[in-house]
Amino acid sequence: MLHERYDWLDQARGFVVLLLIVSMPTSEYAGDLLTGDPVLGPPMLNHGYEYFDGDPAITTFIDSGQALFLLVMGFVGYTAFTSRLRKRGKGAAFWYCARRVGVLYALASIDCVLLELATSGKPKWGDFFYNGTFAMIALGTLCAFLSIVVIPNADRRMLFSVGLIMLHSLLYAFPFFDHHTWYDNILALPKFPFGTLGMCAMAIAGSSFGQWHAMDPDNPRTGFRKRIVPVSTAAFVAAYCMDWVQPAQHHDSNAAMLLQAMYIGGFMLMIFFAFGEVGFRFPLLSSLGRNLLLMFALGGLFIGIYLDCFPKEFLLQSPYLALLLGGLAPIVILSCVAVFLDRRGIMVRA
Amino acid sequence: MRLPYLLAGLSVAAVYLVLLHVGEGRQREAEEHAKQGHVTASYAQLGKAYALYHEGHWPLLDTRNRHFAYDLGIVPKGYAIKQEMEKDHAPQAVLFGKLGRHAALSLVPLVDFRNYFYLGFAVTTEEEGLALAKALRSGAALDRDIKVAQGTGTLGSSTLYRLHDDIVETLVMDGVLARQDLTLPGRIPVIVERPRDGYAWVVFLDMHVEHLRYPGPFPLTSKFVDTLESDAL
Repeated sequence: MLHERYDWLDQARGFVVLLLIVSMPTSEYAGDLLTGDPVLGPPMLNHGYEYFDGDPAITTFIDSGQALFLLVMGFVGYTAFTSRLRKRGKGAAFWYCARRVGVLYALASIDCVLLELATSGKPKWGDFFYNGTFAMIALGTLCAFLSIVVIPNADRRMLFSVGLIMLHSLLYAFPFFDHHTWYDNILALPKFPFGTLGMCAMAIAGSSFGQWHAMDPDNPRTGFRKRIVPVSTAAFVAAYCMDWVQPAQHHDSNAAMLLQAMYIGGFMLMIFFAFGEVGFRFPLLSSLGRNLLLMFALGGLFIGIYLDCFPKEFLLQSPYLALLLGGLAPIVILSCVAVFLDRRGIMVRA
Repeated sequence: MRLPYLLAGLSVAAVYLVLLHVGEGRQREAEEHAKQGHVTASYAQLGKAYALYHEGHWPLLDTRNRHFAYDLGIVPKGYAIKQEMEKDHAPQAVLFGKLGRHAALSLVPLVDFRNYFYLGFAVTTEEEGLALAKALRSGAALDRDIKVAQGTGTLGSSTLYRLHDDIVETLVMDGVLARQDLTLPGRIPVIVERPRDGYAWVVFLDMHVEHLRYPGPFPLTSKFVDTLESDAL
């Protein structure tokens, strides 16, 4: 076996998948406050901009979900990449990197090219190459792995990630590039891949978190005590301060949003590690977490289709109907798939 | 050994915070500027929305006062929500019912229409624009194309054509254009903001918006703007 698999980490990954699944029906049924279209589902578990997309928009912790995903990918990617580097050599490690990035771009091609051709007749090449969800994950993963090779020291790699976040905030602060705003780009400013830059910074930070976890192989608490929790706490303070200066923005993944994801991710890892220490676990989360990428892809591709079968007018007839069909059924369906795969030892990995 | 690192870190932090402060200030200015452009575009959208329900015809010019403005009563004013109800101004409209934490809000006009000129007819040069102003003053009927002297009409023809979404096809059919020119709507100004500080926002028939220097090329030549302003309320 290349490296040990931690159940508490699968629990944390499963929690991220759960948040992703939950955010889909809440988004579908977000309604419209201004026109009186009713809201279904807990707003806290949806993107804040769906309710008020002002400048700044409302943000919830769901808005930092993608950045959180990249942080976790960086965290687990560190162990996966370095274990291959150590035990099988550079070739195996770089082939692993290429395979992982390739699979993500394959998913991007389905999402941004094939599906777009089928629905709108026009592929979204920008989203495929750098701006779409799967492309950002691919580029973030690539940056994380490259940074592990170029900057082997975790502390320095974290400083580099912080430097990227600072650069992001400065580029975002000046009116050089177009921001995602409620008014069109009337100043005709050029576009900049703010989201991609942010996701790369998060993946690099995640790889530092992963290396810190392995700081003392005999006592994993050391990494949490000396680095992960203090850094997450610092990120919490920084996110609070930054939100006053440059309010968090989901689409451009600006500094406040990234720092929010950093502290949520760090504290989440700590919580699930502590659960593991006291022997507390939710078995379902492990099943979901072991096939993180597959659950992410399946959720993204099929939950929307499932929700289209239940228009809001139907669910409004009874809150219990909304809870069962909108709130619980997507979780149950994907959980069944996850448990089915887990029981057969099937883990779909890049 | 640690002190130099600390000093370096503090210096970097100080420079970063100063740059951030400067940048955010510039960003706020740019956003205010962009919002003004967006408001101008929204004003043009009122005319576009009218055209959608009137077979592509844009609104008439103000037939009562004969100004470069939307005809009164044809196009509803766009509204924005204002929190306080000003006692000294009668509200244009009031929204009842809760919106967020507010039980009642007044709606105020989105724009002061006196700050904008709506051209109503397709003019692409100063000469054509001045011919339109002359026709407006001389009492020409505004609900149809206007006959003018040869060379002073739309694209040098003898007719000033009312704004229409399919104006290119009309010009081809009438022989004014030899063939389809899809770039033409991008050269026909629809809404011209009253210039201030040497610039003005202009919306064109293809709904693209430009922030142009004044005085400058048409529609912001000084002669044409002077004509618009002399006709303004």
